[in-house]
Amino acid sequence: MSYVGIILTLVFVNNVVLSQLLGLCPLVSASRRVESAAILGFAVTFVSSLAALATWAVERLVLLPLDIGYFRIVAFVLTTVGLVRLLDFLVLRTSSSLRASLQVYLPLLVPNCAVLGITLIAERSGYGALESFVAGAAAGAGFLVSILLLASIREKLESEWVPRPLRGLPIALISAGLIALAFLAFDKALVKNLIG
Amino acid sequence: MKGALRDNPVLALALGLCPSLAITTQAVNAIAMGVAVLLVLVCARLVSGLLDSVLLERSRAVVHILVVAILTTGVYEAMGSLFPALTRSLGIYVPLIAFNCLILDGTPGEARGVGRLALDALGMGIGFTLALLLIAVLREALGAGTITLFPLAGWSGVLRIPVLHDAPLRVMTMSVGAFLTLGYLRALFAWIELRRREGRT
Repeated sequence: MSYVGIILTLVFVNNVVLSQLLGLCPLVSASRRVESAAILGFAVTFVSSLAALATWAVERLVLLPLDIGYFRIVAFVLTTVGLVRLLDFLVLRTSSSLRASLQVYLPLLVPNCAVLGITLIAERSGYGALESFVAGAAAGAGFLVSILLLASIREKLESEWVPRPLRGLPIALISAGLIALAFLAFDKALVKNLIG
Repeated sequence: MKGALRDNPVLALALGLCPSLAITTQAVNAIAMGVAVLLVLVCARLVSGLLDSVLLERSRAVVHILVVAILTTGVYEAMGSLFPALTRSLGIYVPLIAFNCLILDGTPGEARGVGRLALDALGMGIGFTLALLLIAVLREALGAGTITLFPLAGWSGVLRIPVLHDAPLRVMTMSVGAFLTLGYLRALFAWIELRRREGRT
């Protein structure tokens, strides 16, 4: 599939959150403010693009030559966790203000099923190195788009009256459901028409 | 049992719903996923509880993740050879048990004994399975008008619901249905909780 096709598919048609239902914990817990949603969204995009590339390398250089495919889950988990730790270490050495703002979101980045899910999707699609990187970035961008949409809805909801049982998580989930409903307009046929 | 009903992890705490909500399109998927999570959860708590006494404080988090990943691999491979078709239909969501928030957000094991920890995990796992099953039955009944269970000697394992089967709300089997079902169920439980608290005062 072409790069444009991968991007359109992963951002709009098979959006990690709205269609694959991955990464709901960070989606719900970081979408109260648009600003925090944007920080987490960019962090996830960054991590997932690098994680997709790193797990591609692990798959090609370690798992396939040694024929230990059953080791994939452990290898991918260690790769993504190690990657986040490495980034944390590098950010620590460069700037302390960036680290302070990112540190809050670190627990949401380490066991993030969206990131692991993206690497597994890229592996199952049989992408090459650059395709994996683009797919990781596009899927992360899909997460960014959906968390930004949800956060702006939740900010507006704060000034509205919401029935008490629906306050908090239920209304956030229902809002996410309605965004997902809107995203149903993007389907495979649309991508096919756009890029042939 | 307290863990299974009152502290129901999916409906009350909303943890661990990430990788599991996606497969609640059929009752049989929910049962399979629930049992898989239950196995990993109980074993992970047992192993981590035992390891915690010999591990350094700072290495625990990584070891816990590693233990869960290894157990997930075991469950995934076992499911793959026992029920190949079912495992294929669950796709990436069985490997994703490794990053299930419910399993990783464990309480430290020192405070209570390992046995107690495993029992709590068992309760949570049963509650998780029941919650997944409830969401799946609602979504499948509304979205397809059927309830798919295991095929047993001569019976296909599919229950048909008369009216809904002819005119199902297809959107409920899509991701939209998962968000809406969980959202309204949470609201229902919050409403029951509010009513109960008002009745007490």
